[in-house]
Amino acid sequence: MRLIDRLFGRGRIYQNLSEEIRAHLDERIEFLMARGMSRADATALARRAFGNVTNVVEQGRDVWEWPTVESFAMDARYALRQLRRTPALSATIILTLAIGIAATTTVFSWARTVLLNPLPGAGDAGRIMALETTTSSRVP
Amino acid sequence: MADDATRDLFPGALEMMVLRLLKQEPLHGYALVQRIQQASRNLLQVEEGSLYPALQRLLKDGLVSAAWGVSSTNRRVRVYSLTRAGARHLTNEISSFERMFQGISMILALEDR
Repeated sequence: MRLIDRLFGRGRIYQNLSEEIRAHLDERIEFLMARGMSRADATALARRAFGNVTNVVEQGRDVWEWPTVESFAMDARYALRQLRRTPALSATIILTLAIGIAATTTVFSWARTVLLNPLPGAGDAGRIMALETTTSSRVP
Repeated sequence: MADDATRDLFPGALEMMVLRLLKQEPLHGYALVQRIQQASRNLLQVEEGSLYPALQRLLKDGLVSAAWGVSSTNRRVRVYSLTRAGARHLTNEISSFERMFQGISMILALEDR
């Protein structure tokens, strides 16, 4: 249950966190304005005191991250982005792999039917013989 | 705000103080910052930016719980309160911190030869 909560409650966590930080800044700004500061000054000061909001939200997220799965997904996304950045190279590589796999598959399926599989209908392949007939008229 | 005169807290110190304050009463983030400053008579000033990640860690470990509520100034805030696991954790933290502090003090109090 906690796992499901964690997987699907994610968006909620981030939203709560950023909303919370916004409320925090508002409260600070109001406090400073009550002491006679202008809104602009108060906002600037509050933000400076708080530090980088995006950074803080991100750090808060990191706490909840599920390291292996999420970093794997991140790596996969990164790989896809790299592939898209160099389409010609990617196409070449994909085509090479495709032709390679296709050729190997073809050769192997031929070898299997012709060389490896027992002849269909033959109980004992070792005893198969070729029969030929000759006629006397061919003898010189 | 890292002047020469200020120094970083050791790891876990902020969490321990947050838990201790929440043991008194449930508080929201902004109030926690104020409380730490007041209760330490301005000796400690918590970096606001580091408070929220710390709260997230405590939430994740189940040491505190959070709920949206309304503050005394009629503001929608997220109020944190101590869970039973949090209270237990706090007791352990305090006793291990006291041992550490005692050890350091004994060394610092050595007499010169």
